[in-house]
Order: sequence, then structure tokens, then C-alpha cells
Amino acid sequence: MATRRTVLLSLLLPLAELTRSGSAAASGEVIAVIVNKANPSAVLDRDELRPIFQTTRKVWPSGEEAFPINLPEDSPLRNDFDHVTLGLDPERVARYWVDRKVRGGARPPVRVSTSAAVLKAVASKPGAVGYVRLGEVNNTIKVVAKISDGKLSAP
Amino acid sequence: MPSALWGRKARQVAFIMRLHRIFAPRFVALLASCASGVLPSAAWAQDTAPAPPPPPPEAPDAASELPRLRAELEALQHEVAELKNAHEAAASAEPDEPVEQEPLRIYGFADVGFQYVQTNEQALLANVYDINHPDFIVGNLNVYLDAQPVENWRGLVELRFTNAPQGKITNFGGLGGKFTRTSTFTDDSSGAALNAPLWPGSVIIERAWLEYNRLQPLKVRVGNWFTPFGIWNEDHGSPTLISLALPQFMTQRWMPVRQTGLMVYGNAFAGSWELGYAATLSNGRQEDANLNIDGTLGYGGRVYARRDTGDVNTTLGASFFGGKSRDHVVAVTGVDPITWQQSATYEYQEYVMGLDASLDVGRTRLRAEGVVRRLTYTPGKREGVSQVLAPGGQAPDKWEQTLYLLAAQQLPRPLDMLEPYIWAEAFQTPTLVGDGVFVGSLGLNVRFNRAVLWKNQVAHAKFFDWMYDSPYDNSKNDINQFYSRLVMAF
Repeated sequence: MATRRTVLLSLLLPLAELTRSGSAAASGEVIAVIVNKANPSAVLDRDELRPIFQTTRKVWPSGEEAFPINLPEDSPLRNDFDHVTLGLDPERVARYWVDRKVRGGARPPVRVSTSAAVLKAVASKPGAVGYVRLGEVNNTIKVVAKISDGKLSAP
Repeated sequence: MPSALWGRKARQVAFIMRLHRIFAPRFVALLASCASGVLPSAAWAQDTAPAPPPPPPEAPDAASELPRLRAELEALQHEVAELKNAHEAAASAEPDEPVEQEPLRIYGFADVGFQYVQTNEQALLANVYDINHPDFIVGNLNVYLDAQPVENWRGLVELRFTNAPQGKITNFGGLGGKFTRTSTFTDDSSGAALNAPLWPGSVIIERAWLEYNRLQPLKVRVGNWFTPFGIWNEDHGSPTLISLALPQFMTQRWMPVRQTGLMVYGNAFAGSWELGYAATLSNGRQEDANLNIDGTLGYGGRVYARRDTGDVNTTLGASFFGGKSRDHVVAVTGVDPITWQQSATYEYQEYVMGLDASLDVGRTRLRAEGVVRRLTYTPGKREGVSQVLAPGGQAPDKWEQTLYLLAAQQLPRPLDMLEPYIWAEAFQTPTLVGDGVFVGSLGLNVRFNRAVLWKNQVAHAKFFDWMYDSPYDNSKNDINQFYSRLVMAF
């Protein structure tokens, strides 16, 4: 069985490499993933952020309801964030949400138009999580991860 | 909105002017200091300079200037910090952008196109279905009403609009009979002409449910919902499904496609894996009725494990449905006092189980699903089969099983709008034209953009005797199919 699996993966993975979607970090800016100050999480990794921004995970480990906030689809910051946390380029992100709608799944995160709105929402909602440029961070919120050079790391 | 923009611009201009007022005099002073203290030494170093400027009168000592400059710098830093705070305060005073979910969203999908289904003119199927001629098709026109008026509560209604049953064959004629079709055409009594035509269609409730979803591991859904079974019934719509044609266990409704009742579902996370379940209790097979008209309940569930890392997405699932179904008949047998007799013309028990696996690796998508169904009739309460084709025939107890494999590959750039796929399906179920069917299929999806997709598929279905001998020639019923649909999600 293990041999079959190995053979299957060895066939599929090179194919995937050949055809992998060529998304790359576009803005080149350092992104700060931010949460409300009341959130007890000090660091969030990809496995925690991905389901929250896919809205398949609804609550934080503390029991508080998670409230992810996105920027518009054409925002370079949003594209960088999606690329790193969801592993998807903008086209596939759009298809992901079309599929979710047709299936009747949970709605996508709330979308706001500016980083200032993200900061304000995260500061005011206990379960909120969003992302802004690192230089835009102020003392009303808490940074739980950083994204730079296409990688997610602790703040 | 313009006034808000104007206010924001005005604040930005004021901010810049203030910066200018603060920095400009200090910048001049700094320049003067530099000119007096630093430039002379630089000029001294340039021994080739033809005419070094004379030292300014009363040039201050650079060392004595340092504390003053440091104090200036600290004052500047302090003022910049104050300005930054003022700017943030001004930004936070801007009108709030709503950060709540919209109470109601309306969206949907539609598909239209063409199809040609061909089989032997002498085949049984050629006389039962409208085939062997080209058809332009209006397929699905589905509209979703997605309501979330308050947090943690949601309602979803999906409606399909169709012209059906217009044109449906209602009688095949038979010996001495007359072939007839349903016609919904009538006169529009409110039309601007006396005989203005009107052709009523149907609105199909695909699903209509309300749910409370505050708790991650235990969400409660009530109403009419799609049976949580396998891949196909979850993906549901033409924008999401890879293939156009449906697997036979879906078209033959081995389990109810939708049910009316109660569903609890939830999920949990373990590292990068999501583990989920759904458990259902419903009216069972009475999926099209608002009531449990046969008085029996259906029960089922699904468990799955999913790992989605973007480039590699794996889902493994197991689904189950069980229940009893019968034709519930009530006959009044007396009037004073009123008496009646209840009976069932048919009654059966069924169990359906399925296993499914999905794997997306980069641009490659693989799907596999296997389903087994056991159906047993209550003695003396079997359904009849076609009395024309099998006079006196009754439906047997049966095992049914099926397996399909589907592999799709999105091509590399610049051909990445193309996704060819291959599909193979085998299923075994006793029918009049053989108990084995193999379907081989090729398809090509052309994705114009994120909303519009052109789906094409050719398929060949071959009937054969697998476990039982059929009284009919299987080969005459083999089917060739071509389907093409332009699909839009909106």
C-alpha cells in the first residue's frame, strides 16, 4: 500500500510542479497580521489562519467567535496575504468563493476598503483578525504574525 | 461621500502645511549650522579649490553646537510623534465603514447549451426518452437567497426556475394507445391580446433551510437540505462540478438527493487537518413533499477528513443513508360511522453507503467515489416494473454498487484556461436492459474567467449482463452522448 502511495505521489508531484500556478508575492511589503488586544493568542501560524480566512473555522481556541476581515480582491496586500495563508493566487481565490457559494457554504470574510478600516475594526471587535502594512500598525491592536518575502513568521 | 473626501483631503493638506511650518525654519537653521560648522572643513579638504570661501564671522564651535542640535532633534521627534497621533485620531474620526455581513445576498448560476444523445433507433431507450436529435438546452437557472439578518443565524433558499413540465412525455401510447406530451400553453387572460400565449413553468425549491451556527462542533440546520453524501451532492452546481454528466447513482437516486428534516453538523481542527461530521434525521425518501406522507423516517450521516494547503487539497469521506419507504394508501370503507383502511402497495428498507476521495495537487484534480446500496422489499409489497416490457414483473431485492474515477488537468500557461478530463464509471444494478453499465467519458472545460465556463463532454455508455441475464439485446441500448453548456456564476 505504501509503495502504491509512493508511486502515485511520485507521479503527481512533478506534474504539480510543472503546472503550479505561478503566484508570487506582489507588493513586496511586510504585512502584519493583527488581532484585537483582548485575543489571548500571541502567535498565529498558517494552520490557524487559513481555516479562519476560509470561514471553515468559526471560533478561536478561547471560544471567542472569530471575525476575519479582508481587503478588496484587487489589493496587493490581500493578494500577498492570500498567497501565503491560503496558498492560492487571486484567480483561484475567486474560484474558491464561487464554489463555496454554489455549495451553500459559509460566507466569505467581511471586506473593507482600507487598512484604516481594518485597524479600526480589529481594535473594536474582540474576535477580529486582519492584516495591514507593518508600518501602519499602531498601539490599538496586537501583531500575531508577519509576512515578508512570501513567508509567514512570528512577529 | 464627496464631503467626506473633501474633509479628508483638507486634513491632509493641513497636516502637510503644519509639517512645513515646523520643519522649514528649523531646516534653514540646520543648514546654517552645517554651513558654518561642517562645510569649512570639507572645503579645506578640497585643496584644488581655486578660491576657498573665507570663514564666516563668529563661526561657532561644532562641539558646542552638538547639545543644541540634539535638543532640536528631540523636539522634532516629539512634534512628529504628536502629529502622528493627531493624524491617527483624524483618521479614526472618519465615518465608519460597515464591518458586518450583509443581511441578504442574492446570487446564483445559470447554464445553457446544446446536447445530442444517440442510440440505436430500435433500442428501448430510444422510444422512452427524447433522443436521437440535436437539442438546444436551457438547463439550470438557479437563484440563491442567502439571509443572515443577525449573527449566528442563517437561512438559505435556492430556487430553480424551469419550463418543465412543458413537453414531458406523459404517455407512450402502447397497443391502441395515444402518444401524448404535457403542454402548459394557455392564454394569458391579462395579456394585451385576447389570445396572448402564456406557458407556465415551475419553480423548484432546491433547498430551503434555517440554521443556528454559533457552535463550531454543533451547528443545527432545519428544513430542506441536500443530503450530505459524497462529492457530487456537495458540489451540486454546474460551476463547481468538473463533469457535466452526473454519475448514475445520482440520476437513479440511490439515496435521496435532498431531505426534509433536521441536520446537526460541525467540525474540529487537528493541525492542518479538518475533521467534520453531519448527522441527519428526516422524512427520508419523501424529499419532494412537505410532509412525511409515508410515516417513515430516514437517517444518515457523513464523516470527513480534509487537509487544504492550497496547492494540495485532500478530502476523504464516508457517507451513509438508511430508511424505510412505502406507498401509504388510506381508503375510506364506511361512512356511518366513518371507517377507513390503511395499506401500502409497496414497502422497502434500504441502506446506502459511500466512500469518497478528492485530491487536488496543483492544477490536477482527482475524484473517486464508490457506493453500495442494499434494498429489500417487505414480502408481498414489491413494486411493479413496466407491465408492457415485463408483464407481471415485480422489482427484486437487490444489491447495487458503483465506482467512478475522474481525473482533470488544467493545462500550463498560456493554455491554463483549458481543463481536459477523463471519467470512467462502472455500476451494477438489475434493469431490463442488463445489470451492468460502463461509462467512458472525455471532457473539456474552458474557463473564460472566474465567472464564465464552457463545459463539454462526450460519453459512451455500454450495457451488459454482469450478474443476471437480460431478456433484451444489451448492445442495442448502448448510448453515445455529447453535452455542451455555457455556465455562468453570478
